[in-house]
Amino acid sequence: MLASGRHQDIFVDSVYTTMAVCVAVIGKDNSPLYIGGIGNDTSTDNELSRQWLVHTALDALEERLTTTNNNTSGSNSNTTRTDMRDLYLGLLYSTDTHKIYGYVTNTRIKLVLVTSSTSPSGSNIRDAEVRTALRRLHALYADAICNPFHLPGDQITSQKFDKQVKNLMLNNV
Amino acid sequence: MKGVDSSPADPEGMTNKPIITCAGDWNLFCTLEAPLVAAIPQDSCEWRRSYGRPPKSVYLEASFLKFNKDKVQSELNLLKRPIFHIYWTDCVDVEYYKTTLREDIELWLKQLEKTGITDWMIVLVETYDIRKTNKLLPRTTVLDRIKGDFAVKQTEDRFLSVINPIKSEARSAESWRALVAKVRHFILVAYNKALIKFEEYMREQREKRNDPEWDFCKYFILQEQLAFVLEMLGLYEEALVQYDELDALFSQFVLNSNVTESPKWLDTFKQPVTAWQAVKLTALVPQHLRDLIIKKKASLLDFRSYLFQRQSAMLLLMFKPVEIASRCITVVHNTLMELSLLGVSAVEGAAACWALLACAETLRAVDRLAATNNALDMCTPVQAPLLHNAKDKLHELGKLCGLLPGSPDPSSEQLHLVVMLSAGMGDSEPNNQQPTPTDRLKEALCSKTSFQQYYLELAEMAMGTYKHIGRLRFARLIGRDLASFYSELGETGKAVVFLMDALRSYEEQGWRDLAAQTRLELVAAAHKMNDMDRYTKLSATIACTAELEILVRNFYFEEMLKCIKEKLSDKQDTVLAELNDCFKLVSATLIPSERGVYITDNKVQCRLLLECNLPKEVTCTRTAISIEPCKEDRNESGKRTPVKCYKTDLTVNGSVSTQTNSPRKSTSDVVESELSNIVSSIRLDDLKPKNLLLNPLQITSQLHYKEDKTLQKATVECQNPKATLKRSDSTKYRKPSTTTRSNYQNSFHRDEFKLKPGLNEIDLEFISNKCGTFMLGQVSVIVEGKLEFLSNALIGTKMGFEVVTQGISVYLNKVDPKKDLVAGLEHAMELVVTSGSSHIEENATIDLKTSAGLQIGLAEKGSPMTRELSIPIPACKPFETTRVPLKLFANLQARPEKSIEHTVVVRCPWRAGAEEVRLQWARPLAPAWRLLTAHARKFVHVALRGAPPPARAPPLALAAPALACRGAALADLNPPATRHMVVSPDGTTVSFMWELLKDPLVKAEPLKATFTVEYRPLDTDEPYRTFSCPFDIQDYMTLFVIRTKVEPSKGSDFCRASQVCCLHLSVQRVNETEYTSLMYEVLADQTMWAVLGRTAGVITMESSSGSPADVCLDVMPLAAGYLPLPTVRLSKYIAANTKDPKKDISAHPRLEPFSPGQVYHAGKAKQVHVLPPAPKEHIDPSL
Repeated sequence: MLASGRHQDIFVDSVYTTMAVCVAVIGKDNSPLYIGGIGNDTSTDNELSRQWLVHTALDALEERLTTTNNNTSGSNSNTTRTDMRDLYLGLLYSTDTHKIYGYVTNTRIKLVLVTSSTSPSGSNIRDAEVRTALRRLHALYADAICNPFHLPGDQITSQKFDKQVKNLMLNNV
Repeated sequence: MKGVDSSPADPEGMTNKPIITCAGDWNLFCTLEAPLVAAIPQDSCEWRRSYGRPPKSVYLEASFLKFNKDKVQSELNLLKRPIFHIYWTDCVDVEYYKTTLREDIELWLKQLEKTGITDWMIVLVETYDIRKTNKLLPRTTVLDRIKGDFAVKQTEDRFLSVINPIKSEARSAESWRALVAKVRHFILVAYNKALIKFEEYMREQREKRNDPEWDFCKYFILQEQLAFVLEMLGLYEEALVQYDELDALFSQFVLNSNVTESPKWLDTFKQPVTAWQAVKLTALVPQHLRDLIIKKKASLLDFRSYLFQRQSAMLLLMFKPVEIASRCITVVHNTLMELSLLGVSAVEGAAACWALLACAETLRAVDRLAATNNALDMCTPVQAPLLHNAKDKLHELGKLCGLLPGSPDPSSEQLHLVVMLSAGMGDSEPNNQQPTPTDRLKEALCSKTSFQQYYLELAEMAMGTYKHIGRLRFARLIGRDLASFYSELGETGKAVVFLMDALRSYEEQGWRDLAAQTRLELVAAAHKMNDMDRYTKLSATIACTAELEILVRNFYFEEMLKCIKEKLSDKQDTVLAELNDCFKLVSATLIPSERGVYITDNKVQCRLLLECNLPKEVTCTRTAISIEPCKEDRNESGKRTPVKCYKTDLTVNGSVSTQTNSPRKSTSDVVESELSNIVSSIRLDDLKPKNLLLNPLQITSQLHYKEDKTLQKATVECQNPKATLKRSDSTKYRKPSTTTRSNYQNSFHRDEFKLKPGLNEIDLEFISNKCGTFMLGQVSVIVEGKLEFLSNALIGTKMGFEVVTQGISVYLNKVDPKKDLVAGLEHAMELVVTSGSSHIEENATIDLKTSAGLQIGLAEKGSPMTRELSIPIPACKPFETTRVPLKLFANLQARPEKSIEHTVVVRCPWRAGAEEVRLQWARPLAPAWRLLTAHARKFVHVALRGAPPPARAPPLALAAPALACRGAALADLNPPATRHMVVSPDGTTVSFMWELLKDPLVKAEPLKATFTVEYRPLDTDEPYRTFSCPFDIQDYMTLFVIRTKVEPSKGSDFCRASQVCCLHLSVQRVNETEYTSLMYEVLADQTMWAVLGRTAGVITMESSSGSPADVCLDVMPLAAGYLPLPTVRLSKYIAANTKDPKKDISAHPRLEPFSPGQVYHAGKAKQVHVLPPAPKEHIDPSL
């Protein structure tokens, strides 16, 4: 009982600094290249459930991409991409517990960031913060695939990348 | 908008209109009120605003009140406070004005001034008087008086006279329009002032928000007034902004409450939630909720409901259904989050109820709004998430209330909960034909069936809508929920459909974790359905899924084995599964045959490298690769089956390997190219489409120079960016359609072995009884006898092999290949029979027949040499060789050719027709004979020479040379010791000599002579063989003897060069002959002799006389030394026969040569000594 209580404390502590609970890099063929998540696994919130969130986010992301492509004059959706060159797509969708943000690189690599709206730090997150985080993730991704031994299109297995992304999610870069 | 406005007024709703007070003649105003109220909203008025806000065109309405000096509202109450004040009078009498009206107006203005009101207007209503207008000079009117008394510069336009429209409508229009416009204008001016003041105050209040005493509810009501005013003015967008600001403010407070100390007022919203009525999306203000907020009794749900309803109201008025729907989701999510953040206690499920109702109501409202304006399509994308959310919430409620299928009947607590929840939803709207969402939800919570109906309706609609808008992943996610629902419902079949669909999409896009999860669900469904085939297959696949925990994998591995053992054992057929699910085909290699080619009835081996993903070792009953005949080759195979049955090869050592290429030559070029494409080894990795990004880019660097040769820029250019940037083909992930089992009648296979986890090297075997080209088809791995994994066909890989039949070959070989065949000697040879790939039956014989002069026999001693030989061949298994030693002998005949060709005709029982084998035989001995003459004596010279160098005949020892000649005696002139005479192939010649003793009296008939000699190879004990050489001797009798002599010319003692000498020629007949007319010719060597005068002549020899005929010829030696005498040729001279032309066709004389032995040239080897020319007597003095 005591032990579990302690554990809870630690979790709450980590949650305070956590900005994202899951980060995913998805290839241009929509297959996952990297999925990293933090947070404790409960019956409703675990790695698999987050994967589902990321997976469905692709629908919203693709929708966003096609609408921006079609409306050259600028989209009329509430999350307007004011600058067409802005790779950040904003909030893709949200659920009771999570918010899912999207970002797409020029080579159609999709970056997805999931925040938890149940955690205080996750719920209080600002759009600009997510934007910076995703930009940073983009940079990390670019660094990771600069590895000459990395085959484009393969899953990213770099431990360094993983560590950096985890740090990014914990917001202590 | 009209539709919204004209909706029946809710008793709770407020009708906010700018309030205008009227003072003065109230009765007068009452007559004008109706047209005025109607006229004001008829036209818009431009509202110019301060602070640089954009001017807006505004439609106004107004409500009028009687001015009450005691009821002065605070200027902070925007709504209740009259905004504008009008003093009405119809006084035309200046006197009356002076006495009473003036005072009244003054009082009114003073009262206004007291409360700081500057927004007023004085209207003088006149009755139109036609006479007045005719007056040339206008009199001072009451209005002028009023103006004069009260107006200052700024307020001059606040005095207005209007012609009463009631009394004379026609004339009043213009002045009336002016009045209405003024009223509108002044209202707006008043509002502008009021709002500025109000906003300032509001800001002030907001700045105090961190005060402990600050109250959000109070502030909310305050700012909401602004929203109301803006709404009243028709500025819905700006009204919405007010609500949004309030929303944001509230949200921030709630969020911050978690981080910092929460303000006191927030406790209001922490009170337990007792009601969760559905939001009502109308343009009306939900007054009861507002009252709760004012009384600070609103719960969080009440507040949120109210706020959302107000925001929606604005959006409804702006006609933005899409926005309402998308906001709804956010509101629901935020509210649920805030509930948990604030720790609001509520009945479990209350929040879900509220959320569900909010979604459902929003959907209803959006539908209603969109339907009237044909904007349904636009709304679909936002409806889907609402449906999705509603569905999820309903599920949550179903779970709480025990309504899910498969759950036990609701307990009493759950029933109590249903009652609680229903109560919290409040009463449904009266007189509504269509059931409201509240009704539906209440009904759904009542029974399992209605719950199920509602849930399925929502889910199907959500899925359908998602599919419609192209969000397939969301649709599949709902599909999974539906699957689990159906599964619980017992309709597993339906569940499987959804799960399979989801599984396929996850696999296609490489979401392996999700696919694994879905498989776990599928396997449970299969178990439930008692579909053992599927259960076994899925268990196997799950056992192979690396993404899953090893415990799970092991469990399903055991399940698979158990299932095979218990459930599938009585099945006839195997259960077919996909190979790739559990195995990975790494490579397949055909092991090259030892013989270089694959031969019928022989093993062909294929090595399969298979990666097994199963977690434990498993028994493989059989691994097989189907074999399919190559179609193009089928026509050819008929031609090719009787591969060259045998071959005789004498030039090489007769090894089998020389035959290997022969079948290929017989096939056409087309097949050749087809065959050359066949590969014998593949790595499956190589078959994947190449990653374009791994190709080297064609990049060039360029330097651009300016005109002055300085560098302008350096660029790096990609030559063909399209090839690299091409989108990858989506077919990459497409799975081929379900595999069908190929025909495994012909297959590589291996039975009964253990498959280890990880890489397995499996050697498969196949014995082909047909020849032809075969392609590798499908790989099948049967595990535990019942579970068969099938791969995709390998046909596309063009992996194949060629099987040929190797016929029986028969060779006639020399035993010692270095020796040439030599005629006259016995040679050992052998008949080599190679069975190839076929059997040789018992009692087979090969018949050999030789050409004349060649004899053949078996090698055993004493076996006869014949020209025909029948050789029995023992029975033979494939690839055995039988050798039959033979001896061959070719007769040695005295012929001039260097070699002799013989043929052996070979006739085999397994083949029709016969084959000729040509054998070249060298001659070891070349005889030559000559007749030699010495005056009248005759000698026979026989020379034997060895075979010239190319032939490799052995040296021969010669013995017993003999010459037999019929009709003539011979004297043997050879030395007696001829035993060691040797003829070797280096060109050694052996000569023999006999003298022909001829009886001079006997007429010289032609003689038949035969030379015989015995020979055997040197240094052997073979018996001697006899070589005989018959020849004829003709015209051997000496008829004439020629003598020649050169003498110096007369006066000289010596023959000198360049001096004429005399050649004496004498021809003497020594034997009887019919030829009397002879011609001599001097054939002088022109370097030595010059014949002066005639060189030839005819002489006639009298047959009776024996005296010689002498001729003297002048010749001159050209050189000094011992010169051979010029030769003289004697020929028969046949004179031209003129008398009898029949006898001789030729009319000219002709010459016929004598045979060599008929003329003997006695001076043939004579020489004459010629001295150098005589020295010159005198030398030219001039030199």
